[in-house]
Formats: sequence, structure tokens, C-alpha cells
Amino acid sequence: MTSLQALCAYLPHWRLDATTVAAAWGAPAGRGRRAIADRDEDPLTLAFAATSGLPSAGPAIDAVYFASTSAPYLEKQTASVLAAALGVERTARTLDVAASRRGWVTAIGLAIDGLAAGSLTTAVVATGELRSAEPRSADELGFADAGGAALLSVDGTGAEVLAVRSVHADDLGSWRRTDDPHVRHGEQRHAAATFELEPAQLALRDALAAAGVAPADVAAVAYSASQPAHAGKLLAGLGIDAPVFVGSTEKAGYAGAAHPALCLAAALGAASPGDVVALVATGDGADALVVRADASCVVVGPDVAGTGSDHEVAYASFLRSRGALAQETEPPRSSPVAHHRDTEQHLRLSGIHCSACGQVQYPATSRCAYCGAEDVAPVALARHGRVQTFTTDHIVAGINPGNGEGVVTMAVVDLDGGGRVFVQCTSDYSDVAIDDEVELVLRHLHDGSGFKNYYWKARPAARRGSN
Amino acid sequence: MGTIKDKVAILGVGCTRFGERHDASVADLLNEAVDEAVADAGIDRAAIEAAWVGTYFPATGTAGVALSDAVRLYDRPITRVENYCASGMDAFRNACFGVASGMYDVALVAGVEKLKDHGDRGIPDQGDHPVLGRGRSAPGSFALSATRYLHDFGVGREVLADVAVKNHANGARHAKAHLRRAITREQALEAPMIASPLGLFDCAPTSDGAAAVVIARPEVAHGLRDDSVLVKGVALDVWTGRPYHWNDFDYRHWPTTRRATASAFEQAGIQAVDVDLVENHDCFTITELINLEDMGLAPEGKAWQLLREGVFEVDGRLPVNASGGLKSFGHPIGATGVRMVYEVTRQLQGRSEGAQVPGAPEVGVCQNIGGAGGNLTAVTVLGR
Repeated sequence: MTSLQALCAYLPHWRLDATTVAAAWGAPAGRGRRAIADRDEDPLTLAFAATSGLPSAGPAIDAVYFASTSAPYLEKQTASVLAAALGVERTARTLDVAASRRGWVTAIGLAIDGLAAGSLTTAVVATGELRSAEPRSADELGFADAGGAALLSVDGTGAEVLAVRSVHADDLGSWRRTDDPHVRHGEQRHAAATFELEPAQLALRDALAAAGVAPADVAAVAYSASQPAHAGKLLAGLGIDAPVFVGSTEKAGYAGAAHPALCLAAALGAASPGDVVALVATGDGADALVVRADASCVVVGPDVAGTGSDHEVAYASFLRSRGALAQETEPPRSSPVAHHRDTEQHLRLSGIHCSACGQVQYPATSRCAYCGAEDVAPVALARHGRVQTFTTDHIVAGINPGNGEGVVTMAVVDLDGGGRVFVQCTSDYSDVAIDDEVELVLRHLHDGSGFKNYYWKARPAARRGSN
Repeated sequence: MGTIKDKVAILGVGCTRFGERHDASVADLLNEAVDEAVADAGIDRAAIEAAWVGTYFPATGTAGVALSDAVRLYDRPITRVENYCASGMDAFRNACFGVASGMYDVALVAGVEKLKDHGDRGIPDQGDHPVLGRGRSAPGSFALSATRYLHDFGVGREVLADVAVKNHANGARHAKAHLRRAITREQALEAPMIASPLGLFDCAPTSDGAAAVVIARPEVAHGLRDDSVLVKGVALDVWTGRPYHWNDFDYRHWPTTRRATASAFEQAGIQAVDVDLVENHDCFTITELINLEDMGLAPEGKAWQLLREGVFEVDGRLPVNASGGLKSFGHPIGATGVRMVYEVTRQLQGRSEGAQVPGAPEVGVCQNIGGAGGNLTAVTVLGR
């Protein structure tokens, strides 16, 4: 049996509200509120944050797929960076699905095919989106940044996959050419009917038929679309009478390829064991996935009304983080060669354990720093610990913009089980105190030597289930 | 381990005015300091057989030519020494070995740094690691210790302000100091934050300046001046460039200062009670407190209390940074360690250009930290 073992949707912690934008432009307040990534988050880190909510599948993972319309690189895979950070076997398959807002569900379909065919046993399918829009456009407030990750397996636990189907369309509802900074739109009412509703109906009808599920037996529909208002027509057209989950568009916005993860997490989170739940994701057609909910399926979804979502961003800070306000930066020198050499140490946060004196230490060296013994072995450090000391530095960014922007809070963290790191704190963590419990999250530090340099930052330890 | 106690005499000392020396190049600064030291020694420049020069930034100067071209002193062995902010004192230490070994009769030590030709604040990035510790600064690194010190000993930022008030008052009296004005505790506490809990007045300025010392074998010095100061001990302790990764580092003390002090005191055959005055490395106010505790001159967590009681004032039981210290005299990195030797020498000779320590002091100690607390420390003991 192929099943969805776990699903995690991640919304970043900052919010931009319509009133903030209106005040900045001296315009009457509109409506809307979006989730925005911090300036050190990108599609890779958003996806990684979502994988952090999955149960640890470790070495069993033999496929890592990544879907996004806003991947950090045009040439260079993001899935392989994710695979390195997850520490999966070198023989795991990696794949980026680019360009399509339904790409994450397409990638899930590919993983399901591999699992069903016996060529895969456990797959992680992740997505991350950083949705940029023209300042003061409707998209600026309508888009969301988010991440998502699904763990699929053949081990028999989780929500059973009943069917997955795909429909394509030459979609001119929304697009972005390679040199366009932002998404362009066609005629929106035409697009809603032609490029979202119609292929969604085709895909869902097809998937339900393949699953052998009567429309009346569908318990919930997760519907990912840029214009979800016509969800009622979709259900009525197919004879489905069930609640529909369109994601947190009111409170967070539309997250493109990551949006289906938000919709499905909400639908599965509300489902009872045995319920048939359908996901339809639009964009260049539609993909539909039908599963049977089960108590063993782990669902970690963002609680958008809960804690962690009340950080209001300053508009100027938001614009600068999106490159809309010019800033002269001078990233520090890095090295692709050293980056490769230190991948385990930096992306996996791997240290060493000394078998002579027992000290767990970081960074890794060939002999123990404490007793000099050479009998040391690599060890994965915990990503949770306590603050030993800290400072909020007001000038470090001025000394060298490559060190960060504005105020930078640095913390020394004693990790559970040993090892000590010295890291920046995320920008939403400003009230640091000695002995605070923190977790380490992967963030984009800078573009030294022209590539993405990722490393860990500290933020208050997560209360699971309420990102 | 041996000692070179009483095998090296200080023949002459010189120091530029520290500060924003927009009027002077690196060569100008070196000439100013070296000319004064050579004149003070009463020798001909040609008598200098070898030289050591301390600088931190390659932009200030690299190799022995950093000194040779500046002061037109060619055809001699000259070595550039770089050991973070202790570059100057380590240059002095190596020169002492050159003389004590009998290799040279007379040697020159110079330290120099030019920081104010550019608008940089703090110490600019010097090719630091792209991700490990990324985001740290000089004040931020010492602030980590300040956070822990204040927390563990249950004291507030006032104890830091007290250091600034004392050292500003001392610096105001020194003709060559960078910041020559007294401040109040309230000014210090209300100043803008730099790296919490360190505010503006908790930080030493970045300065231009140079200092120079002529040293000689005591036999040579004997015929030239009758108030020679002798080198009693020179120590250097190097630990780690990344103390923040050490599991047991408590941030309240720096083991390099403890070890370097113990070594220098042993070489000199002295104990803490024998010390009459101290110039120590107060690059930040917290640093002076921790230094005093690490040097065994105050109990752990109590330096602030002795300071408040007046022990470390110029007329106190143990004057500390009578010059104003790095905090007020200034901190041109490579020059600082040599400047400390200059100041303590003149204090021991009763001719400080600043606040003279009363009572004919006999033993003076200089302590020069390199890098953030925990990296390395140089300690020199001088005496009559």
C-alpha cells in the first residue's frame, strides 16, 4: 500500500497587512494580509522548515523531490541541496519540478508511481515558494510565502493513496517569463473559468473514478487555486457535498506551488479516520490526489491564528528584503571548494564525538580539542539547546553588510547532547535571554562568492503543531 | 622554562599622539615615534642592529619593509609581527629575545596602525569564515562576556560605566591621549547601544598612532642612562581562535590571561601583591574588569567593587590604566602593546606625560589581549 505518512505545511512568521501597505502609500486601506518570508528565508529554507516537521525517516529515504516556481537557482538543483541538508543516502533520487503552481502535486504523483512500481520505498516531496510582486499591486497582498513537505512510503502506515491524476492546459492565466521580475496576469475571470475550474473538474472526476469513490462519498476537498471563490461551482459540478479547504488565503495569501500543502494540511487536519479527502491543485491544468485519512498520518499544519503569526513587518524592511529598495551589500568571500568539503559540518551540523574523553564538539577536527585523542567519530548534533550568552549588535551590519542587515542578535548555544554553536538569531527573536530554549533553523546567510550560503540560526524552540 | 629577567634594558621610548591623525601617514607616525625613542635613548640611529614591527592590518604595512622604508633604516634584520591586537607586545617580546640571547646589543621595536584614513567603524572583516560565527564584531564578541558577567554576578551596566568614567578621567590628563575629556556615569549609561550590553562609552575608539621602544643589553644601557627600566618577564599564551565553540568556556574569564600572567610573574619572581601599577587591555570596559580578575589583582566577580572603592585610581592602592588605557588613550592596534611599555617605563621613571602614579613605583605590568577574549594574551613585567 502506498500512503501519505506525514504532511507538514510551514508558514513563515512575519505578516504584511493591508493597513501597513496603505499607510506607507498614503492610500485608503484595502483588505488582505499575507505571510512573508524573513529576509534570510528562501524557497529552499521554507521547504527545509517543512521537512523538519516530518517524522525522521533518515536513511530509508530514497527520493527527494522539490517543486517551486521560484527556486533559488535557474541552473542548479534545489532538491540536491535539500538532500544534503537532510543527510539522505547519495543514491537517493533527486528532482526539481519547476515553473508550475501544481508542481508539488505532480511530483507527489511521480513519487507515487515510483513507490507503486517498487523502485522507491520512501520519498520526501517538498515545496517552497517566495512569491514576489510589484509594490502596491494586488499580488503584493494576495501572495503568500510558504513551504510544504510530504513523506510518502510503502510501509503501510499513514493515509492510503487511492488515486492521483493529471490534466494539462496551456495556461495564460498567470505566467512569468525568465526575465520578468513578477507574475503577469491574463484576463482574470476568463482564467478562473478556463484555466482553473475546468481542468480542476476534469482532474478530480478522473481521480475519483480511478479511486472508485463516488462523489457523494468524498468527505473533504482541498482546493488550491489563485481564485478559490469558484470552489463551490467545482463541487456542485461534480455532485460533491463536502467542506472545501482553500488554504489560508484570507490570513496568509496564495502561496503558488506551496499552496496545495496548506490546503491539504487543513483538510487532513479536520478529517476523521476513514474519510476520503481529495486535493486538487491548479496551474497549467490540474493535478488531483485522493487519499483515505488515517489516524497514523502525521499532519503538522500552520495555525495561522495562533502564536508566531503576529509579527507585523515594517513595509520598508519588506521592500528591501525583496530587492525593491536598493542596498549596497558586500557579501563575504566564500568558496565552492570549501563549501563542498564542509557540507556535513555546515548543512548537516555534524560535529565529532571523542571516544577517549566523551566530549561532543564542533566544528569537526581530526583530533579531540579537549584531550588530543585521535579516536574521534562524526556525530550529528542536536538542533535544540540553551542560550549560554548573547548580544544584540547594532553595528556589525554597518561594519560589513555581508554580516546581515540592521540589528543582528548573536547567541552562543549549548546543544542538547553536547557541542556549542555561535549563531545569529532570527529577526523575530529579539527578546533573547540566558538559558532560553532554542531550536536551530536553516537560513540563507548571504551570497558570498555568488552562491547561496546556508547556515543555522536560533529561534525560540517550536511548540510542535503551531509553527 | 627559563627567564630573561634583567637581561634586557629599556633605553628609550617614544609615542605619537593617538587619535584621528588625518595629518599623518603610516610613515609619518612611525618616524614620529621612532625619532622620539631614539632621541630618548641618546643613541645614533645607526646603532640599531635589528628591529621588530607590530601591525595588524596588511593595509598598514606588511613584512619588514613596513618599517624599513618608513624610517629609512635599511640593511638590517627586520621582522613584522602579527598577533591580533597583541601584535605590538609580541614584537617587543621577540625583540627582547634577540637582545637577551646576545645576538644584538641594541634593537628597535615599533608598533603602528592606521585606522582613520577610512570611515570604517570597529575592526573590519578580515576574511572571516563565511558561516561559522558569521555576524560577530569586535564589540559583539566582548559583549558575550559582558552579558554573562552581569548575569552571573548580578550587577548592572553601572559597573561598566565606572570603568569608562575612571579611564576617561585619566586620559583627559594625558597629552597624547585620543579622547581627552572626562565623562559622567550618566553619559556612559545613556549613550547609544553598540552591542548589548556595551554602549558607546564602553568601547575604545579606533585610533591612528605609533609607539617605539629602543632596547639594549643592560651593559650597553648602563653607560647611557642611570634610570633604565629592566625587562623582568615576557609571556604569551595562545589558546583558540574560536572560543565560542568550546563547551566549557564560561565567558567570565579568559584562561590565556591567567596563564600568561602566571608565566610572566614566575619569570619575574613576583606575586600580585608586588605590582605597583598596571596598564591593561581595556578595549571594552568589561575587558578591564575581567582582566584584573584573571591577573589575580581582584577576586572573581569583585573587580567592579574594588574599582568603586577607588583601589584602581591613580592615587589608589593599585593604579590601573593611569594613561587612560585603550578606552581613552586610544587603540591603534599594532601600536597598543608598545604604547603600554612606553607608558609603564615612563611611570617607573617618574616622568609620565599623563597622571603620574605617586610613590616611586617599582614594578609595572602590561597586559595586551589579542582577538576576542580567549584567543591570546601577552603579559610583560617591567621593573627598576
